[in-house]
Amino acid sequence: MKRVALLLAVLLTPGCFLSRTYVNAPIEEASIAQLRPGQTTAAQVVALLGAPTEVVQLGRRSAYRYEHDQQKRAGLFLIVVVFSNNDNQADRTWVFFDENDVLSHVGTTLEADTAQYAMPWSDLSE
Amino acid sequence: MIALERVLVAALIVAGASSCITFQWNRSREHRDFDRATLESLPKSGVGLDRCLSAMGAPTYVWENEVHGLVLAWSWSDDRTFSGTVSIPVYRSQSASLQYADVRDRQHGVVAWFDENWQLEDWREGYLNELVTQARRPATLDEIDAP
Repeated sequence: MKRVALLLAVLLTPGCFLSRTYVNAPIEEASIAQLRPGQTTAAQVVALLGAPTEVVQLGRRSAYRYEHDQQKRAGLFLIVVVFSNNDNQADRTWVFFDENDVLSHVGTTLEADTAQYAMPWSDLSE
Repeated sequence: MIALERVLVAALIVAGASSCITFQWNRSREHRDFDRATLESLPKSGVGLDRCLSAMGAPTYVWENEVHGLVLAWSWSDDRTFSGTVSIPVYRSQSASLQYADVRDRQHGVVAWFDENWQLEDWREGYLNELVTQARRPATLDEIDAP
């Protein structure tokens, strides 16, 4: 009976996978802390954080987006039933510049490390 | 022993059906829903960009609003998809397939509009494609300098 149960278990679980994908380098909190609204220039921001992911024109002002994504995927194949979960979280910083390319505002969210491997029914609230 | 045979037969039938019947349960989450209390504490207008950024974090999107203003959008999604596929060979190299999918959620978010001094004018919560109906090109220098 144990052999049959083992055989069934092997037959019913022919495949599963875990994968992780990164986009861009993580945003360092220490680098963000060096940004000084009213003092730091666009050139200094680029020297500190590198090339931005996106540049947005806002009249004569502008904003740069820096983003790092982490995606975790998990899947389970049970012959005719497939379960899969994809969790994509990001570190993101927007820096806003005035007409003279001096930093005026900064907004940061660092959540890339909270991406989780899970199944579709898992509680991802934490 | 008969019960064991039935289990084996059922397992063989399921294994044999795997090439023509598939059921899928997928979940895809992108970014996080933010704290409801934070959102509800945000005034509808009269606060600066700094206050919004510190309360809500970095937005997902930033656009121009009427040349001199600003639109920010924070978005997240948590989609669950149930789908089933049946594929039947009907004639040698031809086959017919039927697929059903149920997508329960769409991309949800908050959009905030700011005036030329980057003071909050209004914010609304809902589906992003309904709140931001069309993207516009960046303003030209003539439009920026127009009185």
